[in-house]
This record gives sequence, structure tokens and C-alpha cells, in this order.
Amino acid sequence: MSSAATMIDIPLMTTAEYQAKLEQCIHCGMCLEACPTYPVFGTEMDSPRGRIALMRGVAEGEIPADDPTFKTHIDRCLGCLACEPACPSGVDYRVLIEGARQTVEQHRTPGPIERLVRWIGLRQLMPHLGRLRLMAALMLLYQWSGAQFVVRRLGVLPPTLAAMEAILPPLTPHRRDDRKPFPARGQRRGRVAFLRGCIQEAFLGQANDATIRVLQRNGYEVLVPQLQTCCGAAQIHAGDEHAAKALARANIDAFLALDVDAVICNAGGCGMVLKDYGHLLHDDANYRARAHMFSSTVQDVTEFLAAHLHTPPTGSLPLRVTYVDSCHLRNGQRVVNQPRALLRAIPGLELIELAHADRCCGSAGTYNITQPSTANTLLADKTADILATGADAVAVTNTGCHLQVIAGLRQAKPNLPVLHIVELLDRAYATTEPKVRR
Amino acid sequence: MTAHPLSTLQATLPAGHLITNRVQLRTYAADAGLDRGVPDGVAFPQTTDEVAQIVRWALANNVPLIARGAGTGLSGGAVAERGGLVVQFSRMNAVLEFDAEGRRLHVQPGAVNQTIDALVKQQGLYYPPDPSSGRVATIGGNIAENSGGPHCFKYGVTTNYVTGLTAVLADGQVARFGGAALDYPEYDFVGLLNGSEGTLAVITEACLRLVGNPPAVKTLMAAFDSIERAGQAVSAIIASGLVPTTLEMMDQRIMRIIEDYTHGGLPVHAAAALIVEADGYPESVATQIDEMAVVLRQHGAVELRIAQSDAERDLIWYGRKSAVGAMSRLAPAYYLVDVTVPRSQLAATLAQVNQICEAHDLRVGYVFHAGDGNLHPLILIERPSDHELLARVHAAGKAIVELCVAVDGSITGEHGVGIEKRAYMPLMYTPAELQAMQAIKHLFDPHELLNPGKIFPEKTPQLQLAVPRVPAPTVGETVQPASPTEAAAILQAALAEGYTIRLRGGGTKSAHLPPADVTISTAGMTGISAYAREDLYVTVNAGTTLAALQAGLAADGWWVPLASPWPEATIGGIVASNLNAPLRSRYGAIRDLVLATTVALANGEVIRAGRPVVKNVAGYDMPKLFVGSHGTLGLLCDVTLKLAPLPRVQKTLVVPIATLAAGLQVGRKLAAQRIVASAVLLCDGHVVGEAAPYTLLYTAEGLDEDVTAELNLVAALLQRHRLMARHVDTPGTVVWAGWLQAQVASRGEVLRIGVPPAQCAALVEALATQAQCMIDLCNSLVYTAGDVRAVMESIAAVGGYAVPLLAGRTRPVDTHPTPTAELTTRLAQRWGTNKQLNPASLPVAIA
Repeated sequence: MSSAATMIDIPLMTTAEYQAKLEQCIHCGMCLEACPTYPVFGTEMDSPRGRIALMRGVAEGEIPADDPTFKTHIDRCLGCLACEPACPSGVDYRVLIEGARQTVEQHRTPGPIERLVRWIGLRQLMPHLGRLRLMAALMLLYQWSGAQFVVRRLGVLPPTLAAMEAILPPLTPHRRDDRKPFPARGQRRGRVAFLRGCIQEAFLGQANDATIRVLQRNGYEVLVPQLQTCCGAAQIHAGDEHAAKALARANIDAFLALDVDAVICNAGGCGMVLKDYGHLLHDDANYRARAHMFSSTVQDVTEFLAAHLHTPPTGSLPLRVTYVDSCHLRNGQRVVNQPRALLRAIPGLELIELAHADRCCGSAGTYNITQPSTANTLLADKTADILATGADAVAVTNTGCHLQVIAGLRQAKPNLPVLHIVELLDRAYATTEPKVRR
Repeated sequence: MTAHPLSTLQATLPAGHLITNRVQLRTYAADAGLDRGVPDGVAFPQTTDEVAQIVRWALANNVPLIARGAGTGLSGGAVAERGGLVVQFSRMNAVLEFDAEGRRLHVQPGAVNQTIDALVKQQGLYYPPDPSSGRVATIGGNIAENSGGPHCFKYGVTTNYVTGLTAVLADGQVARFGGAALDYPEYDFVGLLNGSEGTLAVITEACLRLVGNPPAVKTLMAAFDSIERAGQAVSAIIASGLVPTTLEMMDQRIMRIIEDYTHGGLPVHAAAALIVEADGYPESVATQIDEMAVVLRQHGAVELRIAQSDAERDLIWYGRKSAVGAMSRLAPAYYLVDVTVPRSQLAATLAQVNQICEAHDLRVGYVFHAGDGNLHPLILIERPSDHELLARVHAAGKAIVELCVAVDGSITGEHGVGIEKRAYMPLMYTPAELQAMQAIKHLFDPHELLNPGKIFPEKTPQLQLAVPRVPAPTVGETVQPASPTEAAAILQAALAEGYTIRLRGGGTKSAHLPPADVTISTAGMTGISAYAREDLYVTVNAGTTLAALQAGLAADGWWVPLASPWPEATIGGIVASNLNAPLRSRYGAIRDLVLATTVALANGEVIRAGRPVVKNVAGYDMPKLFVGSHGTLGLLCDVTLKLAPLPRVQKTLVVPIATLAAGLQVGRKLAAQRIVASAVLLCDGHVVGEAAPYTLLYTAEGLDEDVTAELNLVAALLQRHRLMARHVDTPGTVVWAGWLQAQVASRGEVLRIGVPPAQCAALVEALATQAQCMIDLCNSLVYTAGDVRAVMESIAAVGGYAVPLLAGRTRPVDTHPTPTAELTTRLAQRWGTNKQLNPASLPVAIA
């Protein structure tokens, strides 16, 4: 299974390239306050600078690679990359943490239950949209039957499952036939391919519908390649690079042959990985060049639309909206202004900036499942910041954040809508449409 | 090394407040500099009591303590070179009290610099010290290093904004130095702890002074054909009487390196570029920038870019702020040298630094705070593990330091000595000066517990005390030494005879003190000994009267922003007695204006405390100790003071006020919105010929546009309170001086009462039923000639004090000895042989 498979990869931390990247850190400490875990723990080991010091210790052989303290502090990193924009020396932290996670993973023997859960989740569910959809249907039944209410009241689930259950959003039945291209509307501007994602498609399918409609409306024909699969982000997070590479190859095969202007992704976390396939497959001679080519065509939907909003919405959406940045969009892809520009392009909508907009909400891939206590602290802060804005709706740009923010608001303000930016755009367009079935 | 009985500490601290895991400790081995040392443990206290507990434990077990903030220092100050326990303040970061109206902020040391600036900006206030590390650096660390930043040129450094400290002393006692009030009648230990790099005490609370946030700011960039011309342009701007907030310079090399990386449009074809920024009222910044542009063009600016929007301003700063990042893309590491020279020496120094780096085959670039003469050569280290390269880097670093010392500069302007530069201390200081600093260290930390090994060279040059060179004066004699050396010799000889010595300047205070065996007068040391307009300082002999100094400077358009009620007051006397006029809220107090002083010590040695540069953090900030020391630590022989351009405009409004309560209410509101006010006074009586029971005075000074804008705001506020104001020619400081003179003449003595601003109004209301008074509302100082015994308890309860203006007249009442009072006595004993040197001059707070 996963651990056996990854053993054949060369440990990243031992490469000369990795060690050169470690040297880039001049331990100035400018990353400390940018890091969400530093204020939580107040300790150097839970800051990027401290983690890099530990990585150096392992890379130089002074700390054993299987040291439990090393693992603890690497596991506590959200991977939100808020340290990267804060770093004056341009340290490539995403590569450093990836290598450290791989080392941690290689030196650990997960118990049989964890292995089973991970095997199911990362290998048997996420890459298979049909199975995810089936699961979503079961969850819908779980919610509608009242079982969720009972389970939550009784608190009977073991911690890991409870953490997963906690981020389950309210579901509605959803089905879209996307085997045929969606035609451009109005003046034709071009053609794009859409990566719909796995969890996003199964649990937040409405955001995908909206993405397609908004692209159509701006003159783009939208293809949804049927051979696409999960992006591999969760697998990389879990240190299962081998599985991630297989998914990357499958996606490159599914998309690269298409004649499109861009590959559109609407989840910040997925987009960052898609844009990084070149790095992921850099030691794969067959795919290296193709991976780079593929990555160069990937754009986040907000990035693409901000540059190609040929038909801005004219209908008014009189809402006060706050925007929760996706860390992997903001720090990983450096897409900061485009989502805000799109929100401001909606007539009537007032954008209220969130305090600590650069701070992670605690979702961070699977972090809210593996480190629930820290994740909940961060989520509580984020929820308080959201409530302080007095906004009527929350805009998001990533699956994980989307689910996390909904979970955060469940106690405080369950009716506050949490919507992808394209859903807000879609609604603004809809106000000027004759009523049709949606 | 693992023999430390940390388990006994573990047992006394709350769970999770101590780490001893070897792997975790590795992450505390460094700060942002190049030195290394793994501690034996890291403690995370959250209260002063917990810190005191840790110190007592360390004392009992002889374990070194290293206080640490965010670990962003560049000189190894927070590195546990000898092992020991790191006291980490990241979790002790609360804001304890914020008095927005009174402009005070009381914080724990782990509070982050930019976080508190953001907090106070919400209330229209500003915490000016802004080190580049401010996004993460803590106030405790800032205080330990006396941090500066790009805005120091106008606003000064950290020590100028710290009014009070709570600290745990090396014996575990908790001491309070200063507080939320100003000018406490004690040695300026607050000033001494600033920049002491954690070697004297462990700071656990700080009280900070805030200023009004100027509503507007404007930025320009100017390009020059040569560094010399850029340097001359800087001097010309300063000479024009404008006070920019920043004067940053970049040379061509660094601009090319930055531009390759940022593509922000830097003038890479020019030899140097200046970034100049002005702040103030919106009406004023545009004209300031226009005027500066004219001056810059006259002095050879070949290209000028004035930011017309925030985006353009950001673009100008983007290049400057990307310097370090751009350099680090060329090499994995660098050595950032931090030295200061008098500003007029900048261009020449730069050329020599280039030669040094070329001779050592090193790549170097510069960004620097040109206004402060603070140079930051950035030497690239392409291979951090190459020992031969590192040796060359260090050799170049030392040569640069020597160069700066040779022109009366400092070996460190803002990064501190730490481990990095301790070996260079003897380059800058004489054995006598180093010994004076070491005496302070021994006084505070006799067991070498606190950050041992920092600041001081491993081997201090031995001081050979001179034998008395002159015969002792005879009893009853008044001697007038003509030089510091002579003064020191006389002091030594007289003290050796066991004589008591009275020090005399203008006689404004000494005349009121009991006679001593011998009097030493500074009347033989008068005149200006150095006048450096370009470097914004003047060195004046201590016996010179302030009036004579101001007269000399005024002819040139300059002044020293000080005032005294007594025309015969000398510079030495003013500094020694530390009486600050209302204008200190506009220009800083005496402690903020004294850059250096030459002192004759009781041991016969002459030391020069400080250097004539605005940024100098090499060793302890000794000039602060002499301000307000009333001649008990030595005889001040000369003083180097910061210069300021004479204000172009000075306008005063007077407002007749019917009741004290109304006066306090309006006066406090006015003071709370000040930016360029030099006095906001509330007096009873009829100081400027008003027929009302009370008078409110508001003086604003500086640039015409700023003064007009501020007085318009004042007028609007007065109108809302239905109060009438009229203009008078007498500024507040002159009214203050006249009032004090008159009171002393008629009543014989005046008390000066300092209270935290938040309690000022309540105190005055309690006081006013019994006595006439004058209130300096900006500085929360109250002067009265009346009887204050009834309110003494409430003054003391809020952390205030009352002292007689003319020391010695009111007999001090013995108070409960505090650690601060003990340190005061012991320091006086060590340096001034206590009761012998200027006896009974130190005012003791009455109780």
C-alpha cells in the first residue's frame, strides 16, 4: 500500500538541490508572525524558521530522521505557505516542507486502521468520482434521515471520523451531465477545459455548475474531460507522492491533447498542485516536459475571469460580502487581487475586507482531520473575524476553506451563506435573466 | 552541560512553560545573525512573578539567563553562547493598558512592534520606531537593542519612546523604573536599560509614549550623478529648515541588483538615489515636497519622481524594501554591517568601504539611512561554509568599523554589539569608558547571570588610575577648572582629602544647597567647541549659558530646543537637573537631545559618554545616566546636543476659561489632537493679561501650513465649546518660564508634580482647592507653589511623584527603600563617592 510504494522514491531531503534550498534561509525570523501556528504555540519549533532549523538538523544527520519531535513539528505545519510571501530571501518553503513530510512518512508505520482509512480515502475514493458521488448520496441520506442530528447530539464517532463528519456541508441532490461541451454564450471568445475536482464536484457541485455558466456567459466554450481525476494534492499532503504522481500523469493525459486556451480550476489548493506538476514529475523523463506544458496552461477561475470578464454582470446583488482567501491561491499561486476585483465588479456588492485575511482558516488539506485542536483554534479566530465584518455572505475560492468555513459558522450563524466567488457572479447574472429552471 | 538542575525549575513553573528537549532546543540556537549556541532550556514565562521566580532559580543554581524576543537580532544578543536558560517572551505579549488620550501604552515585552503600531493607529496615534524586523520583532527586543528604523531621522529611536520599565533584577527583586509620568526624580535607569542587550535586568513591562499620527505623508525619489552630490543634497535639505521623516539612499550597485529582480523602474543609470518623505497636515506635505524638490534640483538631482498616489509611493518603497531580498538571491547568505558616521562623512566613508571590499575581493551593496549617517554595507557570502571567505568577510567588517571610529562614528548604529562586535569595543572606547560601563554591569549583575559575555570584550584593557596630579583645593575655595582633565584631577584630589564638593553652573540651584568644603564651578569652561550644522549637532562647554548658546545659533537659523526659567542657567546645569519645558512634547526632552557628554569622574578619569551621532548603540547609553543626575555622578564638562531648525512660524492662542473643570476638559481634548503644538498650558491667575479665573494657552510652531492647519482645528474645537480665543505673541514656553520665575521669587519654592496622563485631571482638581498651579497638559506635569501634603498619597498611589524644583529646599521625607532607590544610592557610591560629590542635590520625592 502507500508506505511500501513510496519507499522506492529517493528521499528529497538527501538531494543536493534540497540542501541548497535549506541554505537559502538566513533565519531572519520575518516569517514568524505570518505563520498561523506560531501565535498558537509561541514556540520557535512551530514557526517556519524553527522547522527549517529542524530540517537542517535532519539533512545534516544531527537529528535522526525518525525523531518523534521532528515529526510532531512537521505535522503541525499547515502548509499554508503564508511564510513564502513574508520571506525576504525567497525560501522555497513548499519544497522544503514537502521533503520533510516525505521523510516523516517514510519513517513511520501507521496502524492498520489508519492505513485502511487512508487507503480508502486517498486511493479508493478521491481518484474515483463515481464512488465519491455515491458517498455524497449516502451522506445526503444520512442528513435527510435525521441520522446526522442524532450522531452529532450523541457524539458517538471516534475523533478522526468526527473531525471528518464535522466538515460535512448541508447537501442537496446534484447531478450534471457534462459529457458534451458547454457552448459559449454571446460573442465567442475561446475554449477552456475545466478541472472539476473530486470532493468539490461531489459535495459542492453547485460551485462547479456556476463556474461553467459564468465562463459560458463570458464567451467561452467549456469542455469537461471525462478522463480527468483528482489533482493529487491530498496525496502529497499525506506524503504519498507515488499516488500523486500517478494522478498527475492521468490528468496530463486527459487535458494536454485538448485545444484549449486554458485549463480552469476553481479550487485554490488543486490549482497550486496543478501548476506544480512540472516540479512533481521533474524526475520522470517521459512526463517532465509535458507536465511543464500542462502546468503553464492552468489558471484559477478568478485569475482567468479577472482578465477575461468580457461581459460583466449588470444585475445588482446588494450584499455586504467578505472574502476568505484560500492560502494556496494567495500564497501558493499569488492570486490576491483578482478575486477581489471580481467581487467589486458585481454591481451593488460591497466587499468588506476581513481582518487577518492572510491567515489560514485551519482547513489546510487534511489538517483539520489530523490536527483538529489547532485547526479549531484557527477556525474559531477566522469565524470571529468573519462575524466581525457583519457581512451578509462569505466568498471563498477553495474546497477545503469552503467546507471549513461552513463548519465554523454552524454554531454561530448557520444561515450565513458561504459561496464560491463564481456563485456570486452567477447570481448577479441570474438577476437579469428571465426566470428559468436552475 | 546537561548537569543543570532544570527539573527543579520545571517543578515550579506551570506545565508547558519550559522545554528541555534537545531537538527542540536546536531551534533556539541562533538569532538572525551568524553566531550559534544551543541553550540548556527555554522558559516561557507569562507574568513578572514567573520571571522573578526564574531569576531566583537561576541565581541559586548559577545558570546564565538569556532574554529573547523574536530572535531577529543581528549581533548574537539572544544567542546562548555559554548555554544556560533562554527566557522566551513570545507568550508574554499582552497590552496591559492603552490610554489613547494621554498617549501612553503599557505592554508586556513580547508585544510585536507592528502589532502595537497598528493598534494605536486606530486611535490616530503613532509608535514611530520602525525597525525593518518590526513585523515580528518584539518591544522587549527593541528596547534591549534600542532599535531604530527608517523614520528615526525625524522621530528618534526606541529609547525616546520608553517612559517606564518594570524589570526583574539579577537578585530576583522586581523594580519599577520610571512609569507613565515623565521625568521621575531618579537616575534615568529607563534610558540605561534601553540598549543594554539584556545584560542588566530582565524587562517584564514597558510603558511607551505615543505621538499623533500625521494625517498626510508624501514621498519623492531623486537621482544623482554622484554619491557626493546626493550627500550634499541631504545636507542642503536639512539646512533649509525642513525636517523630512526619512532620508534613505541607495547606490548604483544595489539599484542594479534590485532592478534585475523587481523591475520597478529604479534610476539605475544614476550613481545614487535618495528617497525623501515628508509628513504633516495635508496642506503642508505638498509644499514641503515641492520645496525639497527645488533644493534637490539646485544640488544636482538629475531626475525627480514625486509619488502622486499611494500606489506610486508603494512602488518607490518597493525597490528600497526589496534590497535585502534581491541581495539574497545572489548569494545564500550575507553579512550586514551596521555602522554610523557623522552624516557629512557619508560619501567619503562609502568610497573607502568600496575600496576595502575590493581589496578583500568581496561583493557589496548599500542601502542606508542617509539622514542618520547609518550605513549598512551588505557583503555577499556566496559559500557560507567557506572559512577562507568568512575570514575575508570578517576582516573587511573590522576594517569598516575602524574606518567609522576614526571619524567619530559608532561601531553599531542599531544592531547592537552582542557577540558580533564585542571585540571592537576597545576601538571605540577608552579603558576608562569601558570600565565605567563595566561598573554599571557589576552593579546590576554582580554574578554575571544576565546574558553573560555580551557587549564587553573578552579582555578589558586595564585602567591605570592616575595619581593625583594637582594639589587639593583648600576648604572654602571655589575653583574653576579650564578643561575636563583639570576638573577630573581636582575632583580626585579633593575627594582624596575627604572633602565634600559642591558643583556650580549658573548657581540657579547650587545657591540653594547647603555649602560644601570646596566648590567647583564650570565658569572656566564656556563656549561652543564644535558646531556641525551638517551633522545637526553642537558641542558646547558646560559653563556656557543656554541664552548665549541660543543667541549664537539663532544668527544661523538654528537652535537647541531647550528652555529654562533662569536666564543665567548653564548647559551643564540644565542637563544635570533635567527640568523640561513644555516644548519637550514637540522636540523631545533633554534626554532625547543629548547625544554625548564629556564627564570628569571622581576617580580622576575623563570619559566621553555617547558620540555625536544620532544612532549609536555601542555599549550602555551612558549620557542618559547623567541627565538628571544633579552632579552626583561626575562633573559634566561639555555636552553635545541635537540641533533643530528655528521654527518658521510660531503662533499662540489664549483662551479665557471660567472654571478649572472646563479648562481641563477642553485642554485635554486639545492636547489629544496635537501634532505640532509646542505647549498646551492651563494656568490659573492672569498670566497673559486675561481677566478670567483660568487661562488656556496653545502654541503651535513649525511650518506655516502645519501651524495654520492645527490652529484651525483648535479654533473649531473651541467653537464647539463656545470659547473665544485670541492670538498673543508670547509662546507657551515663555509663559511657563515667567510663571515659574515669579512663583520662585515670591514663594521661595515650586513643586513639580508628575502623574500618568490618565490621572492628571483628577489630581489637579484635588489640588486646586488648595493651591495655584500651572499644568503642562502635553506632558502631564503640574507646577504649584502650594501645599500638596493632602494629595501626596493619591499622587503616589497612581505612580506619580512630587519634587521641589530647587532641590534641597524641602526636606525629603524618608520613604520605604525601593530597589530603584537602592540602585541610585549604590551607583552614586560607586561613581561619585555618594555624600561627598554634590551632597543633598538629588531631589528626593516628597512623601
